[in-house]
Amino acid sequence: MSFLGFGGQPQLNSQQKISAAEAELDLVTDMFNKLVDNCHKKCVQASYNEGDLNKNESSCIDRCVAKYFETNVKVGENMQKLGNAFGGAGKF
Amino acid sequence: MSGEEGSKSASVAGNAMKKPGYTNPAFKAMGIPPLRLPSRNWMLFWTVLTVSVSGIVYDKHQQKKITQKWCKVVEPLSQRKLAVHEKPRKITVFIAPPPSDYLDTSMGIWRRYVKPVLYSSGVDYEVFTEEKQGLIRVEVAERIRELRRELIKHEAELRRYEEEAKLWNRCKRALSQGLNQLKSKEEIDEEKEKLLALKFKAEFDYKNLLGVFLNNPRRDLEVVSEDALVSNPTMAGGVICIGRGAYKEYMDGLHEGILGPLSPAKENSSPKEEVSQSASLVDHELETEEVTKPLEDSTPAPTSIESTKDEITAEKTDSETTELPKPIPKPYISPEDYAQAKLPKELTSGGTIREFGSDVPAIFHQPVLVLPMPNLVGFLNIPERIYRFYRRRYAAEAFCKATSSCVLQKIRPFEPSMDLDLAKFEENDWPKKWIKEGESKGSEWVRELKGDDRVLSKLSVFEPSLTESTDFKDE
Repeated sequence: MSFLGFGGQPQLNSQQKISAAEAELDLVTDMFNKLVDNCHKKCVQASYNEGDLNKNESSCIDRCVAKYFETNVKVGENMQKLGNAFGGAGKF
Repeated sequence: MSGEEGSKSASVAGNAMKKPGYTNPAFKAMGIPPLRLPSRNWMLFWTVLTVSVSGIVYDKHQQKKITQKWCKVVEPLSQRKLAVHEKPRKITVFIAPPPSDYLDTSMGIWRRYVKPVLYSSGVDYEVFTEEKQGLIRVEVAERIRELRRELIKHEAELRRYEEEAKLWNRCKRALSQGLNQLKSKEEIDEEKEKLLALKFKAEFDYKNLLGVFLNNPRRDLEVVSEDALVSNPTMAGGVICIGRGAYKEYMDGLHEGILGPLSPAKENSSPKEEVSQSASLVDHELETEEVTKPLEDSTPAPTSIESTKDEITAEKTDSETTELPKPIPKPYISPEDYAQAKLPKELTSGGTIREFGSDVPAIFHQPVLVLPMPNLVGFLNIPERIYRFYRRRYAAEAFCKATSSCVLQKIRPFEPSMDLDLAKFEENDWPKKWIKEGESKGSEWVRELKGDDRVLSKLSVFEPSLTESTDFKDE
């Protein structure tokens, strides 16, 4: 009944489930790596005078991560909206 | 004939009056006309233009230098180390718009003079802004009430635990001897299994399986705020109020939270009083529509209590999604009743009251800094405004100095006789018409600030005059 638009999600077998989980893990790892990259570039000084973070760096990282997540969520929501709009247009 | 001659002679005289100016053959060869001073009117024009523009440029330049100077002063603080499990000191900033003006004006001051200093000192900050009178008061009061509620809950839980422990011990002693003999060994094993399963479930954590924490030796460190580590509560955190109005609301909120009841009082007062109370919810533009709204809401007594309660929670969660401005909850206690109100039991325990979870000292233990926000509005004030515009560097110096006194923690105890009037001179700038309208509507901004000694004795303030740009030394 899914072609009418109110069928439930198609049943997945375990192989598909695993691949979906893998894709999700990939996505999360990718985001995490990007986040670490960006915030490191932005906040941590490249001269590496000390092993520890100082206050400026840690609060910078704090803000950077918060902003990154917020942006990520917002972009994701928008993309989903877009996707829904397209999906809705494609359906009968 | 004679007329023509006259005009000719005049033009000749005009040519003669024109000064020859400076030139030399080389200039002539290049086609550069003789250099001479422009006429009187042009001279006036250029002088006025240069003076006014250069005044602005100079002022801006000085402002920048001043801000940089104070950023440099506090910079050593940000170079200190911070362990990965620690959170830096956090300062709460309350910003209110000036009377008959927009929030942008005060945000400008925050962005230009206060934020850079805070940023370069490496402290964390939380900004709370309002577009309408009363939001800051509600926020502060609600924070304290929440803390009080948790304190009461915590105390009750402690008592319950104690009683339970007593009862449990008695039961256990009585039963253990009899029961152990009755139970077979298998049953005990089963129970053990169940307990182990429960334990496994309770202790299950993804950190033990995957992720960046997997092989991190410091993963068991709990995140702790720097504010929670200091023993003297006045050295923790801090509050900055930008503008006299924000300060008034902050103080009202403190009193309301500490002395007021935990839930809004029942409305059995006469309708006349209701008018005056609800009128304090007027926003800065003092629109008349806003006043009528809370009035309509407040007529049925029991429902309105619920609705205000809902609004408090709603205010926090969806401040941006609401399109219709909601009426701001009335204060739970009026300044006249401060003296009669009792200090709540949960706050009199002595010592410092700390927030649950974070262990940070409560907001009334943290010192407060008031930044006066001089802001003139109106057509007739334009000369004074221009004068101030050209002298903004002095204001910048004051703002930056005050902010660094907050960062460097120059603290003294609160003195009720003079500290209630902090930044009071700012009220001279407030438009007379606005004040009159506010008085007729019972706005809390135009009311005289009243405090209660029991509350005020808990407070302390940052003193900008104790700061010197040279006195900071990193150890």
